[in-house]
Amino acid sequence: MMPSLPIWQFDVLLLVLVVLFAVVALSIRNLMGAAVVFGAYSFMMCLIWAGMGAVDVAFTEAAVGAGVSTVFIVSTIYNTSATMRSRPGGMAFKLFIGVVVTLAGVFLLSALPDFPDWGDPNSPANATVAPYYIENSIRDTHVPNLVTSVLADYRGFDTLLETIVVFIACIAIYSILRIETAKSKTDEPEEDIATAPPSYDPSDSLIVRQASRFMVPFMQLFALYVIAHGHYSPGGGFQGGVILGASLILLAISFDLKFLLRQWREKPLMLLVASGVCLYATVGLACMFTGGNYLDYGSLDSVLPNDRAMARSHGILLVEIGVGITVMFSMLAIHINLASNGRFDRGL
Amino acid sequence: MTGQLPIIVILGPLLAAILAAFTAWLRPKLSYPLVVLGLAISFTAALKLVFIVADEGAKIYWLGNWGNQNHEFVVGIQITVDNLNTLLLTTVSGIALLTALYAKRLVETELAGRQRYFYALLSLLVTGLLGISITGDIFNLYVFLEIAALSSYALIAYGKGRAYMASFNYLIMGTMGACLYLLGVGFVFIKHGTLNIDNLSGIIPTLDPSQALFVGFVLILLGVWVKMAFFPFHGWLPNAYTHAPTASAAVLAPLATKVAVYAMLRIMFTVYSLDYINGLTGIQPIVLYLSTAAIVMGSFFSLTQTNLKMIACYFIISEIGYMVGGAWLANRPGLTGAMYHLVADAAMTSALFMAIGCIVYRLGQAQLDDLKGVFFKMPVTMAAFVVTMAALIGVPPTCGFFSKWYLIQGAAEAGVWHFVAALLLSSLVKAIILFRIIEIGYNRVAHPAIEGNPAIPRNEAPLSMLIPTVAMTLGLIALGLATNTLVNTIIVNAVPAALTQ
Repeated sequence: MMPSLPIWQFDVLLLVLVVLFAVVALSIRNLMGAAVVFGAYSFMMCLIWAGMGAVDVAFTEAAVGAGVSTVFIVSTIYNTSATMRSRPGGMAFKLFIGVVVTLAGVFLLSALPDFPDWGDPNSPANATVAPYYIENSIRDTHVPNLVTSVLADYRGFDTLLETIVVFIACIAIYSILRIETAKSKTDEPEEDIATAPPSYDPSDSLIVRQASRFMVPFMQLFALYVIAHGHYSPGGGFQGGVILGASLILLAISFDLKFLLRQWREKPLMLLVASGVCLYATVGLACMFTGGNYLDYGSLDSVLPNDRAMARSHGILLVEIGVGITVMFSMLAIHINLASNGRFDRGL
Repeated sequence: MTGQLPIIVILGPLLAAILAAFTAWLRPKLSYPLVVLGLAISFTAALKLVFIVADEGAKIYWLGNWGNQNHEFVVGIQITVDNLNTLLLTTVSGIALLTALYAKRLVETELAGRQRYFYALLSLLVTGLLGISITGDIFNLYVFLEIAALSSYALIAYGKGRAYMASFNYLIMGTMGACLYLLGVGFVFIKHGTLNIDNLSGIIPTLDPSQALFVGFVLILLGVWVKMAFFPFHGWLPNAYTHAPTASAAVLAPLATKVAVYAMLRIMFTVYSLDYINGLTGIQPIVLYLSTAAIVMGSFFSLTQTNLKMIACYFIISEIGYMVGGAWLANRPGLTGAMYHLVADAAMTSALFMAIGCIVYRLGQAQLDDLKGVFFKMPVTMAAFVVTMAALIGVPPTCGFFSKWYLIQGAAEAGVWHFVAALLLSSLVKAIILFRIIEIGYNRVAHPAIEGNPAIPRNEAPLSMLIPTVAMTLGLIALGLATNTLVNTIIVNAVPAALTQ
């Protein structure tokens, strides 16, 4: 028997809060408020992941769920509206939805008695491939953080494709927002920013500006550490890339978008977004040219100085950097598109 | 080199898309040839694999060389090419290549000045579809599902105006579908601890049937049903494909739904098993009734529409009913029909959308009333259109006849007469629509050959569009003539072994 730690009490508290936040986020009428509550919801989820021992997942949830996606929602609201026009459905509709949702919930819960106990070492998930990773990861890849070796090597193909998903999200948003408005831009007269202030201006606070100016270098340093140290501790390209992106987004929010756009032009930004996935895919291709299968970093040992396992470790680092580049610039490009409504000139 | 063929099928369009994202900024003119090249490489590799797999059996490729490492389970990601998916891979890459050749003029006119990432997204869509068809890992399948879905949302939203809302609806529905699928994968994983399809198919028959397994199965099934627009989850499809740019619709309509049907077949008969499906005695009749409903509803709504694209979209919905029904008959002719129809329907829908695209290119729209005299204006396009409709109706020797033949045979064998009736009804409705179009396009104008009537100038679609359309239409007949070879050398090996003995 496990010694009784006050874990489940925490879990119950967090789960209650998660449900509460979810209900509040759905029922709140002001979308800005809903976005903030939704961020808090993600943060609670992050704590639950951490409680389960899935620190890497918690880290990603904190960076992506609670952090940058809240910013995206806020910048979308900035360009649209914080109030929602809802069409209240009829009673019959609500009843129908209620019945469907309840039935779905009952159906999902009906499988619960079949599940192995929480943390059971003999459960299928812990007894099939997981022992292989635990026993062999160090020997195969010299990477102590199992999550990193599974993510970037054993299942590196999934990670390549996930990076491509981020890349697609970025170019899809670009295609929908930017290209449309770029064409119509010539029609509307160029407004003077001073005469057309946005509904509220978050960039006029000296304290916010100075504080974020001070924080940004530390955030970026930390992000680089997260990418580089992903082999040994929770972290990696996704989390580090999001933090790097967030540091620049922070600058954009605390000053204004024009400030950021003076340094980041559209063309190099979009080229950098593609260069990350290109690095990842090229590393995979290089493995084929050195005689291995796609993404078999081990076969890079013929060009790298060390043995196969070390070559895998280096390969992981390279692809994590690729992930970091694409994620960082995708976050930035998505934010600029959303905040400036695709105009790439001014915005939140 | 042959050992690397399976991954080359994926890498062709994948790398082409990444490079196209660079050339979109540096050398915009290069994007298109790059994507065509990538698709051509993929098609060549897939075609080669058809023969290799037919001769030597399934080919397995381990990404990162992570095979089973002297361990009971595969620790990495595996892609598998076997008799069930070689044909589909060839179909997907072939149709994508032909559509890319066909689409150039359309994109230049419809998306003038906006096509920066269009070809990159198109190539990524094909990557996703090929990936779903080739992967041997149920989580990897989900990731490819996401790639295909995200790029199709963007490709549809290129249509502007009402396409935004249609794309948004599709996004909500598609995300729901993907969530259900992923949740189902979670349920399967928690009971088995592996995501590898070969490993799962080894374990699942040995386990006692459990509720978790069943819930996982139902969730995955619901997920892929949403993705394939199976009745009653079809609401997103007609608007999305009608308001999308013609070039996007021409590649999405034939391929996206078919690949989801393949995913269902793979989950049903490889991950789970024929015995498992036969054990679901409560579910099977329901699904068969839903298939019948899909066919009847699709046929009914196609009769009520006045837009040619909308009619074609409802055809897709009824054809999905054919394949789901055929799969759930779970007997040899039914499954053969469903698997054959995957290829046949992809080809027919592709030919249909290409012909409609030619009409839209010249007439600007595709309302039935605008088609007056179209047979005289665009005789070649309309000839292709009539042949395609004949294939959809099921006139021999086109491929549509043979798939319907197998499906009806399967339904009769299982005694599911409502499905037989629905198949025949669907043919009847398509025939009515064909004759209606002939009536409008041929008979409603004064015949120009008769003296004294005004001449109607020929205004055929450009050759770059016409040649792929005609090629695809001839392909329907060729596919029909090759039915015997395909069924007896490839599909027979894809049907679960228990049925073929």
